[in-house]
Amino acid sequence: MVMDVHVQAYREEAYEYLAELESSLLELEDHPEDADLIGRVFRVMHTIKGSGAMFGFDDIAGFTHEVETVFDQVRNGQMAVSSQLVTLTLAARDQIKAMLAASEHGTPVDAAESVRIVAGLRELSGKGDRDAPGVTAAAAAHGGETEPVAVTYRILVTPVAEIFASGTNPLALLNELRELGPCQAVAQLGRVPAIDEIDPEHCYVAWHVVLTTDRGIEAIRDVFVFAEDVCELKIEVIDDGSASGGYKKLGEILVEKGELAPDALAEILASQKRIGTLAIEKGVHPEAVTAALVEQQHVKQQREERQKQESAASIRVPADKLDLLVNLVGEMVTVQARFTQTAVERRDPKFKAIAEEVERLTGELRDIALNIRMLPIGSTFSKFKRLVRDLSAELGKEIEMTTAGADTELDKTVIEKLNDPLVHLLRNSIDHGIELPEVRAAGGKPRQGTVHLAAQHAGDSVILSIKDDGAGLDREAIRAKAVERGLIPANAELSEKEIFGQIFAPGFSTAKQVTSVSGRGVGMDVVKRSIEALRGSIEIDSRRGEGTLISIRIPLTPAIIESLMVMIGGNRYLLPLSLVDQCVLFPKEDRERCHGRDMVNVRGRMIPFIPIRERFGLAGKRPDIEQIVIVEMDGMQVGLVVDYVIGEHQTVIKSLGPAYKDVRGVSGATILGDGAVALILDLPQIVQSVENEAA
Amino acid sequence: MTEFATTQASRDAAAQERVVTFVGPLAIVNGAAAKEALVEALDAAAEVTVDLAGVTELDLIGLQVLCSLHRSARDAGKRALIAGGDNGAVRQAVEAAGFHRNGCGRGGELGCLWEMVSGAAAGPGELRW
Repeated sequence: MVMDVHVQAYREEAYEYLAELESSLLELEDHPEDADLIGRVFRVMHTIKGSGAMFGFDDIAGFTHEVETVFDQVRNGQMAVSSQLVTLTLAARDQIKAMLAASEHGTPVDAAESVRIVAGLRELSGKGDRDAPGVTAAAAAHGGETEPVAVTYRILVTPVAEIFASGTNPLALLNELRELGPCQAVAQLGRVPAIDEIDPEHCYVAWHVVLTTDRGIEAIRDVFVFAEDVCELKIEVIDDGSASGGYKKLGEILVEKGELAPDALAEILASQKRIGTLAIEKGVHPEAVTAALVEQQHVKQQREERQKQESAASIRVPADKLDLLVNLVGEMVTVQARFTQTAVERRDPKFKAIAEEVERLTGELRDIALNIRMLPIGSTFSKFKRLVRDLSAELGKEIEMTTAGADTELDKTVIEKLNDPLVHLLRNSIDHGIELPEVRAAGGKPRQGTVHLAAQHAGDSVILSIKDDGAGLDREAIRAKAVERGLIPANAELSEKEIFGQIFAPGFSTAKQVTSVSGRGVGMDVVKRSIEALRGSIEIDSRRGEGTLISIRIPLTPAIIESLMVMIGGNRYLLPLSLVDQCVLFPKEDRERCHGRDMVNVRGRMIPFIPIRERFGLAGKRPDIEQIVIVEMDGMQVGLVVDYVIGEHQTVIKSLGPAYKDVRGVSGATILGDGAVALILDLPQIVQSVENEAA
Repeated sequence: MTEFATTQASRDAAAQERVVTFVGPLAIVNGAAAKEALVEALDAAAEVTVDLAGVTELDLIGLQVLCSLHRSARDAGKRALIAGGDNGAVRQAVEAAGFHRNGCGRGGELGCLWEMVSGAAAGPGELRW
């Protein structure tokens, strides 16, 4: 069972490494000389291989080793990065992913694909088998000294008896080793003779040293560079810095070092006594056992420390635990609002002071809790790079994808839900937007098209934009199609924006041919709905022949929003503050001047308005002076008539539950400080339904 | 720098217990003298105590002769003891040379000098080899 946990952890980690690998490879294609990138690819391969072997993923370890070997050559400058290499390595990356999935779900992997990739890689490396066979994985991994990973070595130092005559002090050598890193030396005293036989100028001692250093094996050799003739030296790698957790059993170390025969070990294991004692009975020198114990302890300690360092930098938490935290914080914010209100009513300064303190702390807690779920959108971007690369190759187009704002952070759940819509929009840009190279050249454009994916903060929202320099939307074609599909009347007079908006209608597609990529006519309406489900909005701007810009506005977090609280007929309602533009007074006289048309003159501009009171059929008398909250949506201003505006409010969104899922015009609710429920108005839907009724 | 010196004294009338006191550097230049003193003491007595309190330097040669004495004493059915094991210079040398862990394991039930010199057991008194 314990193993299962490790295996699962390995898988999760490997998936992360593979994602990193993909982005590194794509970057490498653009910067084939970048040594850092090559190093990164190598290290990822090396880690996947190393821990794969440890957790029994022998197929992955073996396969990855082949790729790693090639990148070792690249790293050592024996081979250059080519796009062919990147393509093969990307394929290898997919294959590793498939192997991982196979180990989880039991679906078999296409072994022929592995063979093909390995063959391709071998061919690329110039049949570079000259040193491949016979070189063990560990040796291949540690041949280069550029690796800044801390590696643990076992060093056997055996000075000749006359070492002092050469002026070399073995203790000084040990001290030099200690300067390289954590080091444990165990003296082997078995050769020290009796007092009347001892030559007081000879050295009888040898040492087993365990050293962890990131300076490489050469640094160790350098210590002994002047002592080569008087000192026998044996260096072995016992921990390559990639594994974590425990270390070998004592018996394994002894067998590995040749102190104990394997069958003797088996015999020992069959009995019950402590292995160290038994090994001595089998004729092993006690100090050899000590050295093995020290080695065991040393490596274990190094690994534990490494694990501690890694875990100190970040910890893994299941996403649902975070959701739970955010939910609790939401409740907390609600209760705190009630608390503050009660404190104000009591008029007790002490009580009020505490309430204010709680308010401040709750605010911080809320910000931090929401912040924990924030992730940079960059990881999604890099996935798209692959998509663009593969798609453009498939369609015979030359497309470069550029990105900006990859470090813009968004709520984790939002990022996940954005993936599909963005994929769809990108596919549309590539398939419908960017023209074939010949067409582009004929039209005086560069053969290579660009798709620019950008993210940026704007208030409490993030704006994502996808911009291509392709053909742009064909306004007439869209219009004709919309008429054909009965989406709009043939004589309808529509603005450019409204025509573009038609592509979001269900069942709309102008592609003359259905390709594997897009054109099935499902999608844009789904895209729009997914974006709206995130309380976001989507807009299209396009110029024929010049390109298309799609902007998506998404709130930073779906759980808590800033809103504007208004009063209508004795009930409080909330409007998303991000949509609110301004508030104006709407006295009775102005109302009478409208003559029944729902339009109002605001600083010289005619703005349509919706009287919420009538819309919702609320009882009660209209106050003499109402207020209009002017909101901006899809570039259009609309006024909402309310009794009066209360002010800004931190709103924890609660869903209405399945019983009210068909209720229109309300997107959710919240619990106010006094325990009352306030509804959150779904402005896009209200405006939409009013428009539909008018049409 | 303190000159190296060795003195011997009997502690009991029967001269069965000897104390060898080293002062100054117990190092390669004095290795022969140290060996001579220890051989003489072990020949003469059943129990030899080596006082290291005045030692200013201890190198590998010094460590080796002490280790050797310990072994020879045990092989001859005699005892070897050490005094002044809390001397910082001694402790440092034992650690630097990697003698402090369980040593040669030949001390039998008496354990090992080196472990005791550097460990918490290294009190001001005598230590058993």
